Amino acid sequence: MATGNSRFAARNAAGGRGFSLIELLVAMAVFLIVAGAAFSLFNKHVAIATSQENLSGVNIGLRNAVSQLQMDLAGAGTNLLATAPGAPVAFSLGVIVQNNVPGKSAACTPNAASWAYPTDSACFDSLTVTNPKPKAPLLVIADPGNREGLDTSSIIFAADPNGGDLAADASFFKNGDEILVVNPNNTNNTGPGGAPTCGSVAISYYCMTIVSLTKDAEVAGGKIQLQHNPTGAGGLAQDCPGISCTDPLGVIFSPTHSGTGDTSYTNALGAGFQNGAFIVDLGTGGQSVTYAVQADPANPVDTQLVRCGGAACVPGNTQVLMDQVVGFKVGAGLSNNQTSADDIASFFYDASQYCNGAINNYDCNNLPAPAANIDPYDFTLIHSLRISMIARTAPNSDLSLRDFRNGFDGGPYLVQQAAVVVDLRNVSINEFGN
Amino acid sequence: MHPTRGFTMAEVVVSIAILAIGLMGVAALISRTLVSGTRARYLNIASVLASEKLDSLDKWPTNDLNVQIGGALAGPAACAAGDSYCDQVTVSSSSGADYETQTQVIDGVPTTTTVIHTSSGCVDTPAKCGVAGALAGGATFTRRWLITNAPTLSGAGGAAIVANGVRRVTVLVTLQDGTFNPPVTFQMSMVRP
Repeated sequence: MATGNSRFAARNAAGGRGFSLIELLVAMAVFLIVAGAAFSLFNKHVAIATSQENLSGVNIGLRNAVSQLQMDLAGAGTNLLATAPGAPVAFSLGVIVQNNVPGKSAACTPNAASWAYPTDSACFDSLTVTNPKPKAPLLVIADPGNREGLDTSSIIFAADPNGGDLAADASFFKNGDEILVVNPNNTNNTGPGGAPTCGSVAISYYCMTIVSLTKDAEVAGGKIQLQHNPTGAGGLAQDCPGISCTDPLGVIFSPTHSGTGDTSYTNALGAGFQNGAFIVDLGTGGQSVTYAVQADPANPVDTQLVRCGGAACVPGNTQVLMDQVVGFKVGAGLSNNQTSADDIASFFYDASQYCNGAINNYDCNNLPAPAANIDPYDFTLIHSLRISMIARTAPNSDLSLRDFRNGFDGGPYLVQQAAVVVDLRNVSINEFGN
Repeated sequence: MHPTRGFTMAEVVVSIAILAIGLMGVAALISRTLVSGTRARYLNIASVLASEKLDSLDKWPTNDLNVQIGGALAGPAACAAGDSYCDQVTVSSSSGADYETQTQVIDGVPTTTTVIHTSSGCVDTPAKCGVAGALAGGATFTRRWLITNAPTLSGAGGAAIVANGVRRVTVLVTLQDGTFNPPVTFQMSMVRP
């Protein structure tokens, strides 16, 4: 034995020996099989963890969006009529809802390959929390004939019930502003033929209307003169495309209802509004907050819930609240239907059914005669909203879900819903006389 | 020279046992991840349901019957007849829609309402949307709420302050699924006039 290799020699002398190549190969093969099993288990774990993580992301997003909605909606209508004489008043306007209704708007069906949802479809509603123009005074109708007067008149005579300086008041009312006119008592009186009406006089069918100013306000003869777009004859509504009006708030005419035979009655300034009806300057919607669903410009598959600082969503005023929203529907609980206000089935998901006459579960299509005296799109009736949101994990982001089909729309992703009912504090508190 | 030999049975058994223990650890980890993920999801739903109930209890004026002193947070898993401050919500997803079913005990009679949100954009009762009715299964949450008068709040430096003139409303949402330990619960309070 060479002394230079004494350690090796010692081990051999003790009876040990090295592994043969065969033994090593077998041992490695066994180890590979075992390690492979462990790794495949671990791999499954990674997939599960990923999809759980994605679903957690969806949940957190939904929770955030719901919180933001609750904050904005609970305060809707704040200070809208803070300066009204004899406040609290029995009405308010906090939210304008644009419903896209199945059957009346583009079908809500995802693309079968990319799973992109069409944004301009029945999948998505939008809502706008209205706010008045900052510091603009509250006015009331003060017509010499105790009536807003001629149906086709384009001028409202107005006064300041709080005795402010007329010239200063008038300076707020600018060409292009939308003004809200509201009858002071939304009490559902009985009108001609037993039909429900809004104001304190039988002729008032409408609780509220909105017109747009076509000229800056002027002071003449001790009154403020507000020149507005023409309205329909007989106190009925006139859609914007037929006349010259601007509608930044999107309430005089809703494109959603174009060609459906529905007419928005929110441009119906007529005989129904008498002296004392309130006039609120909504401006051009710059103070509003709008929620809508848009496709991400960089990724059309991603339909995003956005919150916009204005009556319309334009680049620069738009924040993304949540990605991958595949359903956003806004239902309204109406104040004249409050016996079932807590019933989740009693919300209206079609603004054309917000009827002043919709008492005791009648909707606008099912009114006691005479059915002509209806007042759809009456947003002053809203006292609570039910927002139903559905979101998903991004399609094809999770390989473990390649062969998975969910029960909601059959897509290869996980889906989560959050529905929340929010009461419009300022409105509902007035409504219950508190 | 030692003769070549294989592993003994004892060696093989021991090594397999060690391996099995190791793999069981991995399997337990996976199952724990699944459970905690599902739990997180249910907790999230519970928190939405709790804040929704608080919001709906905030709208009533002080003298309304819906917000008088009463109720309890403890009770049977499901709302029982006579539980006026209790309701149940079931959420499930199937047949092209998400389902929300609410059961309220009104005058001792449980009343159930189901509203669905379909992938085609219809939100209404299943019959009106043309979809199958309420399904068995899904996760059911019980909501109980307690309304107390003049609660004791913690003030500066931990001093107790009795808040006269207000009520505290506490909502406890519990998932009716006994397999979770501890159970999935979410509690939330608010103070109102």
